Amino acid sequence: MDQHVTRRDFLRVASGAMLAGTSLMAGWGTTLGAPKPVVAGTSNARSRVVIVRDEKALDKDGKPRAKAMAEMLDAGVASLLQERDVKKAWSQLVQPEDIVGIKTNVWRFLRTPLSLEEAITARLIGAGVTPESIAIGDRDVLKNPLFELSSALINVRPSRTHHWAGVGSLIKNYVMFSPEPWTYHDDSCADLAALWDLPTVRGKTRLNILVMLTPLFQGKGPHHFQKKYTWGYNGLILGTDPVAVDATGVRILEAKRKEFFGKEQPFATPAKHVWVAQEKFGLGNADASRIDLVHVGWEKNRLI
Amino acid sequence: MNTLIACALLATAMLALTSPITAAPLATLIPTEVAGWKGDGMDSTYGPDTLYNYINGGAEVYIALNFKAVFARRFEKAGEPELICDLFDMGSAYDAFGAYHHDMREGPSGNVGRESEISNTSLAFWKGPYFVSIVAFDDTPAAQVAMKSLGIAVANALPDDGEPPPLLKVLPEDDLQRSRLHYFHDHLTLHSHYLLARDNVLGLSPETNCLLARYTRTSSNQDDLDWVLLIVDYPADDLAEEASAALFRKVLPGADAAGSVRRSDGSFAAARTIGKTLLIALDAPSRQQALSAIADSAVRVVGWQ
Repeated sequence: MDQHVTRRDFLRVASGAMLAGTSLMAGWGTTLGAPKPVVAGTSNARSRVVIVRDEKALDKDGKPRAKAMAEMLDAGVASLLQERDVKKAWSQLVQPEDIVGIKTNVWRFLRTPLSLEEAITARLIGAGVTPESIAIGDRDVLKNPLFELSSALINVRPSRTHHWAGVGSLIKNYVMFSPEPWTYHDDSCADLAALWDLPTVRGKTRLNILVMLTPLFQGKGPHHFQKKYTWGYNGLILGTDPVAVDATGVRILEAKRKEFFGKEQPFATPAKHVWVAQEKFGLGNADASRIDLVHVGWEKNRLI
Repeated sequence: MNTLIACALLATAMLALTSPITAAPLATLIPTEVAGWKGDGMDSTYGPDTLYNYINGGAEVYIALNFKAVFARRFEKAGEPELICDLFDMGSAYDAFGAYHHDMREGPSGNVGRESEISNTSLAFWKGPYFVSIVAFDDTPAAQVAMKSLGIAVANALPDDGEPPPLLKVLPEDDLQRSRLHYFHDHLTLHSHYLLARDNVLGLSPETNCLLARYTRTSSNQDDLDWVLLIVDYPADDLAEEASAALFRKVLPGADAAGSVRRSDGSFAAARTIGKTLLIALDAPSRQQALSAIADSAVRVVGWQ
């Protein structure tokens, strides 16, 4: 795969996209601020992103520890919403009457940890949402009526490089809400942010969690997975702005690639859809200058 | 009545020619046990219509290379990581070469099949019309041994070596990065390797055979970009001429009589058709470099055609 076009291509597209300039968020109306539900992607001037890490997040076999997942989730949400009381923090995200879809990711090589899904579910129930009103799904979301009926979505997936999109992002995680996912593949999946305007999705996302426990920073082969291209970052990145969270994840992957390869090594396919999401779709903030980044927990080798 | 019977026979014959190889023959090419790992009994086969269900994100690559079917077998051993062996029937050795070379192949050879690459957790190779990928979910010494043994067993079961695409003969050899060759047919795959233009300016189709090669710059005061040679072989001369005209009109405007042009980023490009073959040099550090690459390739095309 090409290594250098990516930069030129990205810059070309990013500048062109700025001229295109339509905003998905026009008409959404909701703005950040407790106690109203937080709606991802609303056009805030700045976006708060929390990286929470735990040195003990993984067991000796490299598997996520359930206790650590719950603690990291709590610490991340509390910091994100600047509310020490975790229950109160979650009450800013969901209301008891909400029907909540947890959009997860079940890719066999690197899936969202079940223990993290369970921790999210527990916190939703703690905020008053009934268990019958909570659905967890990935490839079956269009067949699950709870997602169709949902009033709120929690978006959670692991970070990894991706063949067509550069990175498997939170933005991309909603591709399963499209009946024709492959139609987004053109131009490095540049227009993935359009997914967030689909009726089942639009305006519903309350929280985005990019799982950075063992991210995949380089892909190869039919399955785009080799264990040697993962490492224990032991983190979660949380935010209400999916673009800001994704852009932060991309920066960490880029830093890891530079460390691993010994020089700057652009993604084989550019992760341009993250920046196009900002410039063309107005879904959120990709520019680091517009992101308030907060670090919680383990500091070692945090890369950014 | 005779006409109906003839049509039915013809249809049956056509189906036999175009249908994917069934699961059973592919299954016989992969052992059910190797080095203590056993197949988990959940074998699966996917064709062009279902490959999307198996490969997350990259199915188009193989489909565009005339993919016929993939047979997948997973192997398990207590206390050891899972192994996945995928046997891709690409229909021809050329397309098996293309499937293997879709990725960069900078790693060491596994000495398996026609060409191979091995790491601690993966082995990939092509042989005849088959592309084989073996992946271990984790890195253990035993899994490395099993992976290699599995690869050798599969390679030994494949009868023919096959030849790489003859377009390779067109490539100048000096400074060629052999780990970064890509053979393909379509615009989408070209786009994934090199952004020439968003539109399908070259008129690429399943009938075109393309080879993209990268060369190391030997002297340059620019950045560390490599230069590129793209060779497209069309079914007929007029298609090559049409593509060339579109290329100069839309991508390389302002070219001189020799077909070379300085681009807005300071790099140089050149293009020329030889019969049904279009040669394009891109990102060259000098006009002379671009033109000499085209001239060198043109001589080889004449010999090859």
